[in-house]
Amino acid sequence: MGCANRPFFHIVVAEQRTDQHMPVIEQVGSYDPLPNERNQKLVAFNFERIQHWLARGVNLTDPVAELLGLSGYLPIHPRTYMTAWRNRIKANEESKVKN
Amino acid sequence: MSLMRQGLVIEKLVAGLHRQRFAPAAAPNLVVRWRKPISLGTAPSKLFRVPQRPQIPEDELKEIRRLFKNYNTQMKSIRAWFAEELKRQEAVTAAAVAGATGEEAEFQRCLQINEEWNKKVAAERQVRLAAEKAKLTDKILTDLEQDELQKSKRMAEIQQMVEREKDLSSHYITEENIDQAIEEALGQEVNYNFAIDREGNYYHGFSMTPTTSHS
Repeated sequence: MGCANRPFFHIVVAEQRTDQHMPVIEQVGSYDPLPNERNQKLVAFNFERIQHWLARGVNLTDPVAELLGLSGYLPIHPRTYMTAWRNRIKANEESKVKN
Repeated sequence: MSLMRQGLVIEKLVAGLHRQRFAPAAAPNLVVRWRKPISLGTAPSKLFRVPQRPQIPEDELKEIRRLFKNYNTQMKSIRAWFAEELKRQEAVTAAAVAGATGEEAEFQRCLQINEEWNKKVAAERQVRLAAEKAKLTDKILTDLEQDELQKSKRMAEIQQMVEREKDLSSHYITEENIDQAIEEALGQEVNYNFAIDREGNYYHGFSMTPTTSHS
């Protein structure tokens, strides 16, 4: 979805080996990674269907697992913590360089 | 130099072929950015490039492992709970559907009505079939009678024909009387060269006196 320099994602249930342009089984949400005018990144989830599919044993991709963790539906994904502390370290170093 | 250029041209041709082959057939309206297929192999300039392994500090690695272990355990239990919930919901809905609508009783009632209808229709059908059968046997019998009649009529006609021929056979020219017949034919000469008027009188030769027979 989206177009050049304007990413936009559908969160879908799909066969793991299929091409990204192939038809999907079901769309269960969407994600707009560009912050809007109020500095919000908008995510939509159909939690009922997500629960259904998780019960059926689907695998989550890491980015979707992170989003679900941040939304409070599942535990926070470790990669979220990793990115956070790495960003923190980077910011610290940058501030040191400035000073 | 020219050899290199040739190589480049060939590579582009191959790329073009791949572009044709790997165009997405399922979604023809979709525009997909061209990517070099993996089957073309590594570019010569990148052949001996070794990617750097990420350097993760020991304590950070430990922390990551701990987090992942926790996360995986939690996810496993959540998934198990979801599966149980699904099973429970399905059981509840199936029972509710079966109980609330009374499908089985309704089906039995329908079956009974259907059987009644079938019996009624079968009785009607039997009467109709019997009538049809009687009609058919009648028709066959009358047809056979008609056939017999026709046949006997035909036989009578044939008999008549045979009788007539038998009567006529006395005038036939046979081996015994052929000489006599020839003599007779030669004896009575017939001249067809004549004129005829409106009353049916014949005029032979140049005579103007009419005669009643043509010979």
